[in-house]
Amino acid sequence: MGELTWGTPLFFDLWMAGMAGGAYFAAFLIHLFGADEEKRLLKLATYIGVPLVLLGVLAIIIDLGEPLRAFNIYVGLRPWSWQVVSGGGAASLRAWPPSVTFHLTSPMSLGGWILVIFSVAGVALIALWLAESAESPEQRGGFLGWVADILRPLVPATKALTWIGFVFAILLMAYTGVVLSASSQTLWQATFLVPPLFVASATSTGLAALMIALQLTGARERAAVMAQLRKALTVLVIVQLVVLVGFLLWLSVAGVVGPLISGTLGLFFWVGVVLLGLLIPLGLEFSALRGRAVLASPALVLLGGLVLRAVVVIGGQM
Amino acid sequence: MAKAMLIDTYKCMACRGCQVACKAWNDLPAETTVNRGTYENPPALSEKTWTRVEFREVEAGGEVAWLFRKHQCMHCTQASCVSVCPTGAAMHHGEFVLIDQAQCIGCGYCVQACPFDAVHLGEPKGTARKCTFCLDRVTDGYEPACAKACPPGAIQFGDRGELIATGKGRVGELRANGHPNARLYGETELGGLHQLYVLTDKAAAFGLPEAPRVATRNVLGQWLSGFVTAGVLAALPFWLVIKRRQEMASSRGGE
Repeated sequence: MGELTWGTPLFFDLWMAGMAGGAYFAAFLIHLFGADEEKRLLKLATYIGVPLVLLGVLAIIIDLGEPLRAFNIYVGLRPWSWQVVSGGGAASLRAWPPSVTFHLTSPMSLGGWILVIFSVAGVALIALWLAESAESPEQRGGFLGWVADILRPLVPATKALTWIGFVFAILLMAYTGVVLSASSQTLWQATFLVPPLFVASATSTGLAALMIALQLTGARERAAVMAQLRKALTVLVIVQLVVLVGFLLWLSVAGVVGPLISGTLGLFFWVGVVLLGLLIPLGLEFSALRGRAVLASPALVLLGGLVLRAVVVIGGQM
Repeated sequence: MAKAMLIDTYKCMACRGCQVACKAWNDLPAETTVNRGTYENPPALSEKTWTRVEFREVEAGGEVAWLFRKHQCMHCTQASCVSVCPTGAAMHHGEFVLIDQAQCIGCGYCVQACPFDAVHLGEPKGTARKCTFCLDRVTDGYEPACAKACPPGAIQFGDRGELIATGKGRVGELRANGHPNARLYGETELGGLHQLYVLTDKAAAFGLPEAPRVATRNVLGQWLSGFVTAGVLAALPFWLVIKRRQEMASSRGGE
């Protein structure tokens, strides 16, 4: 095995982007089904989601071979090639005018746009929520009050924006799996279950991140909401376990499960993903410890999600 | 008329002249390697080795056959690298597949997508690089450097249709002379490759996929499988848990 083409930054990105999408997805549904009328969780999910996505994007940009050209994913603007006519006439003709780059068959092209739209929607939501809650400029004065005054007429758009965020949260979660499965690497393309596995993991890690954030911000009526979230997390862990079993069965039928479940990687898989990430959180839920160790399960689920991304990303390239 | 190369594995004597010619013409540096107990060298294609001869020992009828295959970009008609490239740097130029070095961001997606492991990023990473079919020679009417250098004439450059006819003739000769598994590779694979092989044995014996497939062939289904999972998750944990809570709340309110 040579150098990994996709290494640590990529699986951190898949983990963080998935977590951001999953947190938003979970919070939106909890709000939609009436258990979070003040949108406290939705706001929390947006506040943690936007930085997570941006951190993830930063990680992959740094990991690119030519980081300074990252914007090529979005626009075909190439000032350095205006006088370079190499690789045939067609290449030089495309240098001008600049064009929007969008490739329907490339999950990474779509992913790039999904990340941007999700982040922009998140930032817009945060701005509108702040404007909504800000006091009038007479009372508060200064620049921020003035900005809030400008934004206030846009507040009715909040609901539409939360729906856009929801759609792109789903796209974001799915992207983290599809980007791997649209390849020629055996482990990633032998099954249709990489996207489902990553969506399930994104949702559980997202909900876990929400629970940790809620606990740390000391929300009112925390106990009642936390109990609901813990139940939801337990169901999510069970679903993820089912998807994981299906994933392993599919891969073993295809005869390619080896690198994932044996050797050093297998150790990480069994201990990190299965034991720490799924079985122990599940066991804690049904044990006497659950009242005392509030953050143990969410923290383990987060860790399990990271190890899952790592072993799948590395295993595919072995 | 589409151009192509026909590589006759029966004629190849593994002199690796093609490797040297490729390095010389494309100004690619040498790689530091160690003796691995084989004449095959370097151990793999890389961003600075765009072609190399692979050596394989295969047992057939109690005898060891030593199989040689020149490995490089196949210039597929249905090219996975072109499908997955987020910037459009990997592109078709006529029948050839090129990576626009001014457009490539070095994301490595084409490396993961190529069914033939023909594209590579370096260490430190830069842009993705691979065989260009010596476009700078071919557009001026010359044959690619590897074909020019090949002493036994195992690499032929020419019109693709004519090469397919030649290749089929060669396969017929080989089958009649002790190579029952001989086949022409690349005529229909991935919509037609522009590197054709006359193989003396099955594709697998030469490390080639019997039925190569485009990386993005299932991409729609893969997106859908993600969406369906999101739907199931929306229903199962959230709707279930929250609904029960609401019912409990309403029944408590009714007391």
